[in-house]
Amino acid sequence: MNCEELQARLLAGEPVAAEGHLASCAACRSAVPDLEALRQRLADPALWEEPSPELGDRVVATVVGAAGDRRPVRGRRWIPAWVAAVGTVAAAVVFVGVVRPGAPDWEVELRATASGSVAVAQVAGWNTDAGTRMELEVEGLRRVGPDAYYELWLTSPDGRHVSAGTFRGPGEVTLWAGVRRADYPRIWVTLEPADGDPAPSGETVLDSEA
Amino acid sequence: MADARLMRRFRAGDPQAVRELYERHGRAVFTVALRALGDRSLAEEVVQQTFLQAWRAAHTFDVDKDPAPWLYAIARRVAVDTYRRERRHRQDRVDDVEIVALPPSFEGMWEAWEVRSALDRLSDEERDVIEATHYLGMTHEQAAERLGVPVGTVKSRSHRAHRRLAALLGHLREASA
Repeated sequence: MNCEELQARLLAGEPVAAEGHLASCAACRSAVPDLEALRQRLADPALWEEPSPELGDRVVATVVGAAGDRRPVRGRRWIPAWVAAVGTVAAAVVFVGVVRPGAPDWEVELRATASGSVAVAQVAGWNTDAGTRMELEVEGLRRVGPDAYYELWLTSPDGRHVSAGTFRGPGEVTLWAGVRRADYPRIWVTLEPADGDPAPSGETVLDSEA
Repeated sequence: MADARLMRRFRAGDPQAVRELYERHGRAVFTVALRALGDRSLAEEVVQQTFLQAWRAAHTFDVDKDPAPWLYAIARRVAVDTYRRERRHRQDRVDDVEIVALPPSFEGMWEAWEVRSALDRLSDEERDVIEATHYLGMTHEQAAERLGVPVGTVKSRSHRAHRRLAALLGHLREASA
């Protein structure tokens, strides 16, 4: 018996003769506690839970939706137009069959939270198997530079936030969230610094509850 | 090099690359998030946020490197943020949440990531045997009945699977030595 064979048996929890290879191999003897720990780890329920089958769709929707907002990359002011185009087209291709065509399932107006601001956004939403597709028409927000961006959030009644993607200023943009509007009724927009922090900044600029 | 091409495409927001990266590492992200947070819904939220954050930070990633440790670091940070957010929401105490210690479920997350990744590299048949014997605690005979194959087949699959797992996870033993 060699090391590989013996360690496989130890990991399987099979009995191993103490006077055999184990007696003469210091490496295998030192591996015994770690293999036992590994064997116990294999019983961890979290290892055997599978994510929802549609989670992959939601991940693709989230990233492709964000990629469609023309965010800058290092060394360039904007992502090239073809990338945004690819993202937009790909989002349509990826979700063909799950996006309900026609009139939106719901519409909501987001109003400015700051007094004196004229910013407003209309959000039209389609409920899909993969979550929620939203088309925004934003007016009155100042366009931000490469150090910041606006981020659209959906929030549940118990305070859970889900990002639907980002944009830079006025205009039309399509965003996705992997959750249902019915579960996340509040829709709001924050101004985010480009600092890599995934949490909302706290600087709310538009809100469905304003 | 295949990873480098994949990461370049991921950085550009190519949906197929996003899908491929998710297929390779999404289950490991889910595993560590579920283990840390103990909630499927939150774990899936962490998976989405992890890939979104990864895309946002992709311009900082060296595409010639293995993306797994990088993705793991993002996933852990997102899981920590999610834990603190949920705790803040439950306790409605803002002042001291940033200094609160993480629970034991956050320990050993990298090892969990590595074990899940190793399991994902087994064949479905090999993984079914490992699940039956280690997670469900079955004997080879019980596993054979569950899987509808002869006991000898279970034994040979078990032997092959354990050899592969021991080899794939050898670096964890070396790291702890």
